[in-house]
Amino acid sequence: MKFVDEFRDPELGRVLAGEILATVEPGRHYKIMEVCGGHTHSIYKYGVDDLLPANVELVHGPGCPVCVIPMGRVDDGIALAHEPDVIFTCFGDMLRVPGADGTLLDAKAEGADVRMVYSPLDALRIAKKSPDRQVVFFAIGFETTAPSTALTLKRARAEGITNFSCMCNHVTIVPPLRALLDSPDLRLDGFIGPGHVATVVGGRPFEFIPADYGRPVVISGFEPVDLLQSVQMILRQLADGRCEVENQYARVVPYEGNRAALAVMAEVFELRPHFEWRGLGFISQSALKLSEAYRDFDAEARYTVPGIRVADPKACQCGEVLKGVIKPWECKVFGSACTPEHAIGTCMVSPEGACAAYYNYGRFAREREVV
Amino acid sequence: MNVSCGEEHCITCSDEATPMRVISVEPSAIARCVDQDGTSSEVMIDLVAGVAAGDVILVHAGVALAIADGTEAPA
Repeated sequence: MKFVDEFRDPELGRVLAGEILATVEPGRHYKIMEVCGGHTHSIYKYGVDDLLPANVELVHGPGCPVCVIPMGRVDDGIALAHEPDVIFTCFGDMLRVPGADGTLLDAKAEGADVRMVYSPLDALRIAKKSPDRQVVFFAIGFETTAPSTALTLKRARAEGITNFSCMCNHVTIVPPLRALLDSPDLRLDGFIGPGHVATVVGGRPFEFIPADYGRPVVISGFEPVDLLQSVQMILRQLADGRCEVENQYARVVPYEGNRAALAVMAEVFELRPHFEWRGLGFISQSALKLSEAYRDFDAEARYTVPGIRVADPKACQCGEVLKGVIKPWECKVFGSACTPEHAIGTCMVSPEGACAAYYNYGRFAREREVV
Repeated sequence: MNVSCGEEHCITCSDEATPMRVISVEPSAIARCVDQDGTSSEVMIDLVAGVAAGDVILVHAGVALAIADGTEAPA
C-alpha cells in the first residue's frame, strides 16, 4: 500500500544507517527514548536497533496505556463487569491484564458478560441491539484514542441511547514525559516523539522538552525507515548544537494537530486532578474524565466501584521498565515467571509493551555487537 | 476466545493506527474502508474534512485521524 511500502525499503534503511554511523561521535554514548509502545514494537519487529551503532541506545518509554494502568483500575472494571445487567466491553488486550484478583477474562469465565470490541462505536452498536441491558465501555488510551470515545459519546447522545456508559481511563502524554524528565535516575539525550498522538495534539505540546529541558524531539512515523530517519534527525540536532521539535511524520501529522479532534475532546472530557500511573505513581492532571455535560454517561457515576489502590506484585519491575531505568530482560521474572501467556506485569500483556516486544521477537541478548 | 485485537498490535496503544483506503463514503460521516489485508470496516470520518473514495486515511479505534498526503517521503 502507498505510504507503507516505501518506508520499509531495505536499501533506504542501509543508507540511513550509514548516515547515522557518520554522525555519531565515537566516544559519546547516546540514550534516545521512543515514547510510545508502537515504536518499541516496530523497532524489534524490524530489527531497527541492529542497524544502530553500539553507542546509540534506545530506551523504551511509557506510551502504552495498557502498561501504565494500575491494578486497582482493572479491579474496578471487573467489579462493573460483575453487575447483573451489564455487558462490559473493552479492547482485547485489556482482557488479559491482571488485577489483584484475576483478569476480565477470568470474570467472563465466572459468568460476567465481557465482550471484546474493536472500537467504542462497536460497543455503542451492542447497546443499540440490547436495549434491555446496560453496556459499559472501558475507555483507555492516550490522545489518539480519546477522540474516538468522545465521538461515540456524542453519537450516543444524538441518538438518544441511554443504556450506554463509559468507564474513562484516558490519559495524556505530556505529564508523564515531564515526570520522566524530572526523574533524577534517568539521563536522556533526545526523544522519538509519538507520531499518532501528535496527529491529534500536534507538535506544540512537546515544545517544553527543548525549551525547559534542552532535549531534541523528533515526531516519528512507525515504519523502519521512519524510525531510522528520526534517530538520524535527533543525532543531527545534537551534532549541530540545535534543540527543537522536528516533524519527521509530516505526511500524516500537521504541526497544529487535528483541531476537530481537540474540540470534541474538550467538549466531552475534562482533566482529572490526578491519576495513578503504574510505575510512575500519581501524576497531576494526567488523565481525563467525562465533563459535566456528559456526566450521565459516566459508568463510575452510575455504579459504585471499589476504587481501592492495589500495590504491584513485588516481583514485577514494570515501573522501572516504563521509566527506561532497566531493560525488559533485566527484570527478575522476564521470560520465566512472566511471559505473554502468563503475564505478571502489564508490559508483558500488551503487544506494544516493551517486555512483550522483546519476548516475541526473541531479543534476549544482553549485549549488542558493534556495527 | 481470541483476545488479540489485531495480528500483532493492540488497538489501545497510544500510537497504533492503520492506513486504510476509502472505498465509499456513507451517510452519517461513516466511510467504508479496507486495510492492507483487504479487511473491510466502517470508520467514523467526523474529524477529517473532504474524505473521498480512493483516499488513504489513518484509522485509530474506528475513527479517521488524518488523510495521508505523502508530501514528506523520506530522502
